[in-house]
Amino acid sequence: MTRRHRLYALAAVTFALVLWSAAASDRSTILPTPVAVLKALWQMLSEGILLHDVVATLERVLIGILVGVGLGVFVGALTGVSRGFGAAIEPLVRLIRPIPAVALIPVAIAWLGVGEASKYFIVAWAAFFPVWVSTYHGVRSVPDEFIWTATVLGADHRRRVLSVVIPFALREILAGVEVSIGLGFAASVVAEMSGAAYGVGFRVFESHLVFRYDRMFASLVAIAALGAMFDAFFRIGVARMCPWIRQ
Amino acid sequence: MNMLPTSNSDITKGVRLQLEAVAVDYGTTGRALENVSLDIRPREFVGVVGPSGCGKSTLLRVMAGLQRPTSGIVRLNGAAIEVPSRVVGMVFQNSTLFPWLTIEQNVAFALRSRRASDEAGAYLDRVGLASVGASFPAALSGGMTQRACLARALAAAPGVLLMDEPFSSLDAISRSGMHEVLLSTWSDSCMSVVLVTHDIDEAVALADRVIILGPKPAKVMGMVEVSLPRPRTSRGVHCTGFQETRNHIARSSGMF
Repeated sequence: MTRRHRLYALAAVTFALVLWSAAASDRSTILPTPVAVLKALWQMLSEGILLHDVVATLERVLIGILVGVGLGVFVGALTGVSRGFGAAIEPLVRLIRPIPAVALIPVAIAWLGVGEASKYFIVAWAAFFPVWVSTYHGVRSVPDEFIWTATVLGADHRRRVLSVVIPFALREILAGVEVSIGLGFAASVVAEMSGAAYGVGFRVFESHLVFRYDRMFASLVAIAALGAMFDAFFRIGVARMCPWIRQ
Repeated sequence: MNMLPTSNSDITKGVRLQLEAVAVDYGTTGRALENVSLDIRPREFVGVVGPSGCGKSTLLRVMAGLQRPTSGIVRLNGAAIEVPSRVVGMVFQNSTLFPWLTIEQNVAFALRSRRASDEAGAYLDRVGLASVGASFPAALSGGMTQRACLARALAAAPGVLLMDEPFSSLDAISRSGMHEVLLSTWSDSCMSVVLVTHDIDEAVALADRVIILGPKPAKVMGMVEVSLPRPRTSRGVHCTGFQETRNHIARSSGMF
């Protein structure tokens, strides 16, 4: 991003804040001003609530995404590489893919209880499908010439998959992971709203119930900041570990 | 300059690649090769010319063992080829450098030794790319990319190197540079080269023998021995012998 582009981004954020300030007022209960939200954030931070909520949400998102992404890459690679496995599993995955993670919250609670396991399940479910799709397509799109080249250079099937197919698909896989992170966050917040004692999503819902809209918006800001931070770390990690992708 | 390592014993003896009545059928698009019989002798440089889409690339894939012929047989030193092997190397028209590996790692991919990195450097030095070993393929020009592809193919120490129009996308200067690198590598080794090209001048300038394929389904329409002395300089292109050979091939192939 160039300096000019950073200025554009800053201008857009400033414009959004100005719009928000203009629309809100100190007397408004349903839309507090940015200053009131900042004060609420500070208060929640001093009380220790914010940190507790953020850590809980981050843990759910991290574990759920790791499981969902790991399974997505594994199953996506298998369905992409093995025509037989793909023929058997692909229709099943495509059949269950439209079921939204939110719709599975009651099922997850019934099966796994209201504890952490059901939340991990919901996040993993949301994270699995984008990565499965991107891995599957990435693996299937490896040009024949790459496979042929590896073959005449002496690579066996295992080496072709691990050293050519998966690395080639990595760009698409990472695009899927980026989508999964966003969906995983959303799923975690919704799962927390549906049954949790803490977490950023729970705090949004709880603040709404007690008419603390400043805290509700403060929690939303926390979610946005967490998501942006997660996204930034992901991008930095990709740029460091996969320098060829940037090129 | 470092000496090229020779890990494959076949390359030191030379390899004979033979096709006996090979035919390839593609169900929907018809027959690509018809009754093709060829004998690529050890240390020979063979050019293959023919019209676009006639089946030249299919021919190379069959020679490499990457594609089974519908009928006929491919032999390597007398033994039928069932699966691809490192003895038959291949360079494609488009870059097949793995974008996630540096140039040196790409070359090292073909090496099995523990000192692959050092050996890769020697191959890169051979094609004049020693200074870009740490770069990723995206940073290379078209000519440098094909040089790197050549270095990687050579690193597998093939007895026969198959080249599928590797210079077709290069400008005249890069192409000329690649010709020099290829010829010097070939003359320093015992490998045979089969170069598919649509450029008759290129085939005559490089090859000992030019095989002419007809339109699809490809069959061998003729073979022309190129008896011009080596090294064949750019001046030689204008000599009578070169022009006569060139015209003979062009007439035989129906390109005139």
